[in-house]
Formats: sequence, structure tokens, C-alpha cells
Amino acid sequence: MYTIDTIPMTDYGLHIASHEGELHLVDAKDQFFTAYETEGFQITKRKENELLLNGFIIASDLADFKTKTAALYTALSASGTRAIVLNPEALTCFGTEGYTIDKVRVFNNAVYARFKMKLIIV
Amino acid sequence: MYKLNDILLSTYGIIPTRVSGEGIAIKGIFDLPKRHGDTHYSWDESNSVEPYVAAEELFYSGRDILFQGIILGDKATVTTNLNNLKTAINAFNSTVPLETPYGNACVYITDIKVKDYNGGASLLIEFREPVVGASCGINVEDTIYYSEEYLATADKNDCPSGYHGSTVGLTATAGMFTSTISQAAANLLAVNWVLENVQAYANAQGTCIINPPVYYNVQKTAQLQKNDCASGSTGSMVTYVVEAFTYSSEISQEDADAQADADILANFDQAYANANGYCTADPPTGFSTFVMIENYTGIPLNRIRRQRFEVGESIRVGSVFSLTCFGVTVSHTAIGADTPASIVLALKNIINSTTASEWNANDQAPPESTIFFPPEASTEGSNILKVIINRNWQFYHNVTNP
Repeated sequence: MYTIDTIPMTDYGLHIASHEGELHLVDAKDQFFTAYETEGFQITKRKENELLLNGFIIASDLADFKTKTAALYTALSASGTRAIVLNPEALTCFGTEGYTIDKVRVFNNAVYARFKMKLIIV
Repeated sequence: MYKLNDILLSTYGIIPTRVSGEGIAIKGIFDLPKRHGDTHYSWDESNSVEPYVAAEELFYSGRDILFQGIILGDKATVTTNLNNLKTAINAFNSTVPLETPYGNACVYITDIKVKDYNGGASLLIEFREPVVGASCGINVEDTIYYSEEYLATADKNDCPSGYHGSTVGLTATAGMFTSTISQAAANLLAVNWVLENVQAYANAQGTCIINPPVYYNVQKTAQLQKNDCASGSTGSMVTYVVEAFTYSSEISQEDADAQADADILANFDQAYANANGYCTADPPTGFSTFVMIENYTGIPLNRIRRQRFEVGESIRVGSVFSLTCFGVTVSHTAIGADTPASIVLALKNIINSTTASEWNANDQAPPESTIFFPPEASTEGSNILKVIINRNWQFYHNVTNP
């Protein structure tokens, strides 16, 4: 089950289609060294890892869509880090870039939209 | 239904369509905006970063909202509708509410991109919602008040001695100042501007004019006697004075003096004299009399002389009653309230209070041990003065009527 702070993502109408980044080897932090007549280097710690989420929001109608997106907005803009579970991975993340919900399609019995968000894994 | 500042976009002929790639006419209204400010810190000695996610560290930027629509009609129709929309937008002085079927936002308009087509135009309106979730009211265009015309004059005041400045007016023309508060505020701006600048303007634009000679009146006086006193009293003379230099003339000395004369004619009359004068009781008529009615000397051994003097019934103010002995004269001058008795009493007191040495002021008095010296006076009845003195001397009396 995919959850945000233990709440199933589907409660927000959010269905994750793909996610990436959590398994990457993250880039090294900046190196600072002094070297003459040879290649210098410094073994450093790793930068932050990023989690890219791509998915859909599905709602039964426009009112339901507005309710779900409002709840998702509240959850992801709250203070503190977010506990994201992408079964089986459990990640602690926080967002800096917000998210986008676009390509909204409104039908008689359903509303669909695309969801994109980038998070930093702590 | 789409509204901007509570006005339907259809008012401007705008029909919602779809933003490119979207299924609805609006885009961005569901987005979570980016964080604003520092969001984390990267320590060199550890992997990953330290997030700044406490409530007091969370600041969010605004978000862009796009609206896509079309206006149908010929070029003139499209232009008219767009101009009306732009006029309304230009009047906004704060964010305005944007209402859509998908949510509301407080926005300002950053851009409108228009593409012309045959039979209409498409437009993409770009809004910026600076604070997500903020509330705002309908923006009502401010009433502008225009100042009314105001004129003030001033005399040029920087001329050299002997000259005076011309009078110059400065006008704030109608509409020169505006206010969104009130008509009075707009007018006040005009008044203040004029009053602050009129003197400098007069000094710059005015001319210096040589002063004409100035003539001042000489002192003028007039007299009238108060004439409403009761019988038995006489009114005083009342003088009305117009001081010199009270009136001036740039024409002639005669003109200045004539102004003083006119002052007298206008302000000085019998009523003035009667109001400002006073009454004095008339002095009694007739002459004062002062006669000796007895000059008695006893036998030589008695060494006494008795003299009696009578003051007449009629007393004239200013009459001097005098008695002289040993070359020394004592006297009393009659005043308005005197009677024969008061004159007799006054003479008695003077004689009795005169010392031996005072009687001898002219070295004609006898030694102080001399009998019946100094002389003694007393009264008899209401108008007789009796004097006792050594028989070798006597008083000589006199009355002088003015």
C-alpha cells in the first residue's frame, strides 16, 4: 500500500504510476582540495536523494476532485517531513518544488488529472 | 462560470475553452507552489541534507494560473471587448477575486496573449496568485476629485528702500491637483500650493515701484464748552485733538490736513463736549469783607490789647484774608466751601500755632518773656475773630478780592 503519513494515497484519489530516484547512487558533495602536478580529489559525503512521483488523481466528479485535491494540498504543505511508503520502501521526504496537477479531464462520472511531484529524501 | 472582480468574463465576450494540453479552461489552480527561501542545509560531514520543515520555516511562493478563452466576432468587436477588459484591469489597485468552477483565487493579471483569427480571437490570460488561499474583496475604482481654481495675491517684498512691490496673483488652475479622498482634500492641495509659492512667485514676477511722497497732517484741535450743566454751575471747555501724523496723503499737505479736519467734523460736536466735559459750581457773587470792629487797649499797666475782626457774610472764592503783626503776615485764602465761620476758625488756628520765634522772623517781635506774647486768638459767634496781644503791638488786617 502506498501511503503519505500512513494515509493511503488513494484516499486523496492519488494513484502512483511511476516513481524513481530512491535507489539511485546519489552524487557526491562538492570536493575541496589543493593539488599540484597531479589530479586532486576528496572523498566526500553524498548529496540529497530525490524522489520523483508521477501519477493520476481520479475522482468521481468535480466536487469530489476539488475535495481530494484540497486534502492533498493540506497534507503535502504541512510542516514536518512526510513519511512516504512506496511498498515496500518507506522514505522520509520533504518537498521544495511543490507539485503540479494538470491535464484535468472532466467527464460526466469521473475526473482525471495528472500529478507530478519531486521530493527530497532525507 | 468565470468571474474576474465579480464581473463575468462573458461580459467582455470571452468564452472559456481549453488551455493547450489541458482538458479545462484553467491551469495551475490545483498546484502546490514552490517553497520560498531556504529549504534545507547540506552539511559536508553527513550524507543528504537537513530539512527546514518546521512550521515557522515554511514559506510558499505564489503560483501562476492560466486561463484560455476565445472572443467571437469581427475585428472591431474583439478590439472593443479587449479594450473594455484592459480598462477594467488597469483600474485594479490590488489583487482581485478570480472565480472559476474549479476554485477561487486572489490574483493580479500579468499578461494577456491574443491570437487573431478570421471571425474571432483566442486569448490566454496569465494570472499570478501571490498568496495561495488569501482572501480579497471586490476592487472598486477610486473616485478622483479634481481641485477647483484658487487664486491668491502677494506684494513683491524684496524691493530696496524707497520702493514698494507690485501685487502679483498666482492661480492654481482647476484640476491641477487630484485626490481620491474628497473634494476638500483636492482643494486643500491647491490652496497649500498657492500659499506656499505665491510670495516667491510675486518676488520673481513683480516689479518695484518708487514710493510717492507722503504728507502727514499737522496737529488739529477744536474746543467746545459743555453747555448742559445745572443752574449754578458752569461747564468746562472740552478739547478734541487730532494728533500730528494721524492722517497721511500721497496728494498734498492740504489733503492730509483736510482729513484731520474731517475727523473733527465727524467726531466732535456739542454732544461730544457735553459727554466729556464736567461742571464746576459757580463762585459766590460779591466781595469778601474783613473789618476790625474793636481795637481796645486797657490802662497802661494792664499791657493788654484786644482786637476783634469780623468776616462778612459774602465770601468770594480766592479772597485772601490776612493779618500782619511784628512784620509777619498770616493769611487764609477762601475756597469754594468756605464760610465766615470756617475762615475765622482757620485764622485763629494759624495765629495760635505760630510760635514766638516764627513771629520774630523779621526781628520785630518782643522777647518771649513779654506779657501777652505771643498773641492768642479765639472766636466769637460765627464770624468774629478776637485777638489778645501786648498793647504795644497790634494786628493790621486786610482782604484782597480776586
